[in-house]
Amino acid sequence: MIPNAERARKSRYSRTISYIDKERYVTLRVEMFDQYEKEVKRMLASRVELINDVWMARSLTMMNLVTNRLSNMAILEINTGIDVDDEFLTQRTLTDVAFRETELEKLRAQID
Amino acid sequence: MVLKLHSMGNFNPIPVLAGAALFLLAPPGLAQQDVLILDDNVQFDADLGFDDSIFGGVFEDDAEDTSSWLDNFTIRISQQFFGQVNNHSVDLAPGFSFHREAETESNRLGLNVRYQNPFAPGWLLQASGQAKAYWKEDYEYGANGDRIDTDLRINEFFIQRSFGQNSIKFGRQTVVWGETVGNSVLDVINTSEFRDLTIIDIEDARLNQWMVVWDYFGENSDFSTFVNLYPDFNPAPVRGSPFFFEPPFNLTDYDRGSELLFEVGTQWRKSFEGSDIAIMAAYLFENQLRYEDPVSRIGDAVSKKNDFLLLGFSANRAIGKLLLNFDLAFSHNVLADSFNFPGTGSFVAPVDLRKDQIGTSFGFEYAISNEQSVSIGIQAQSLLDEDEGLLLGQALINDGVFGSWLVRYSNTLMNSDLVLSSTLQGGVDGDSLLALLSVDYTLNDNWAVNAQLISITASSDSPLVFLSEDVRIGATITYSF
Repeated sequence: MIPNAERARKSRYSRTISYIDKERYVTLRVEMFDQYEKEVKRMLASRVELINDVWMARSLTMMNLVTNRLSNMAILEINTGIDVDDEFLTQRTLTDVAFRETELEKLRAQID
Repeated sequence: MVLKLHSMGNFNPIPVLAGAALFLLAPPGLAQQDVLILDDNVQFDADLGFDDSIFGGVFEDDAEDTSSWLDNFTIRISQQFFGQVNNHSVDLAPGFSFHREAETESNRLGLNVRYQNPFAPGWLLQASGQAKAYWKEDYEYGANGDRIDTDLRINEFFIQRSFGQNSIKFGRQTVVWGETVGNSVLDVINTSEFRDLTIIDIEDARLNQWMVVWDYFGENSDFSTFVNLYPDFNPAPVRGSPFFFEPPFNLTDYDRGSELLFEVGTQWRKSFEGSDIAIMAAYLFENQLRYEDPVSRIGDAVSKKNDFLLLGFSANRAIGKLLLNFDLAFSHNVLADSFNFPGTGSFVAPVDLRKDQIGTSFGFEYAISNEQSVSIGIQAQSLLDEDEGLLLGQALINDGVFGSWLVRYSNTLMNSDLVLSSTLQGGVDGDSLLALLSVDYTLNDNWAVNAQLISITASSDSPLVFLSEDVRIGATITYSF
């Protein structure tokens, strides 16, 4: 994937290569290159599982090939098909804690 | 979604990936130099799986409910050392100077507790407070007759009820109207206390006050209204602190007697894509009291309050990584000679005039990258018809355009474990400059250390002249959980 001119100005990557499982539509690996065409980061996905009829990678590992550090995001639990009020996705959620907690409680009630 | 994040330090990628076939996909050196263009129907025979067992058996662990009533608390314990290290003389006037010795100013242990509990649907209780112990060589230790002193303070303490499109908060809290970081002309609702040079940011110096705040979240715009039930005033400098000067008469709190004082204000705000605007109006008391000599020349100074009207407008605009801020304030009937330098009292021959004042603050915040950011803010104010009503020979402290500017830069390194930041702050008339360098290093989830270096330069016209050429260094170690 090569960014267009506008995106290229904002992105630190000159291009990315994504490896997609075309049967399950899951990204398995992404290679990210800098402006010197050097691969600087690599994302690796694993534990691809069918969860609520959606294929998902539950383990995502990001490797920083410059600093030789890696991080892993493990999705231990995930829910799909949750009803989210439009009202929840407003600026009020950021400032009104009582409102936010009330709305979050509605979401939690759907998965309990 | 329940996530678990692991971060590993330096690793050697070859052994880690030796068991995976990933590196077999690209011939060595190919990706570095040549652009590889693949057909849409390319097939990979290699196994794209990744053995994440190096992160331990996180997926095998049973998810345990570890919630506890303690989760509502955030507790921070810190020990701070801070001192002025430059032996020097300050020239106040030709032939008149005084010597500044290097000395420890702060040696104190602090406990900060924050509590936030949404105890029922639509309800929130939030409180924060601090306790401090002042050890030997702290200026509060000296002011307490060379004995360990302690201090307890409740900061926030409010209960909130949100229902429908409304939210009501009652209790001790702050109201922030300004957009400009650090020095907005609209942030005059809460009082502030710059007790010493360990606090130079207004965000840290604001004092909470007893208020009722009603927010209405409309379809297209919002309203926010506050009533301050017990207006306070900026505290007088603490004896022994760097801002303390020995006044001819004691500076006391305002004696409100049976007077019923209140402040009230309302703000209307509207958001657009990439921008917010707000207009506001308020009836307020100036946070800084003006002190006058007692008529009998005996006893305490007489503190005088002043009420005024504030009309304001604020706006911001985000353009990519740039956020522009703008504030405009018109104040009707402010005291012409209110001397509002942080933490000090106004103690000059009073010019008992009330005037209108216009002020603006503007600036920007720019995210250079995910790690680096810079912000600039300029505040400028001017009294209207400033000479009107003055007697021959009288002059105002704040004549012409007065205000301040602020530049902040921060750089986050080592996966956010190390934060370098600097602040430059000065007067618009160029008569003072405060430079701060700060280093924050996070040792682990609990421990962190901070080091600061502060230098002040001021001309004899500046109220900071008493601190001119001071150099302060300090360190704080913090344990939080």
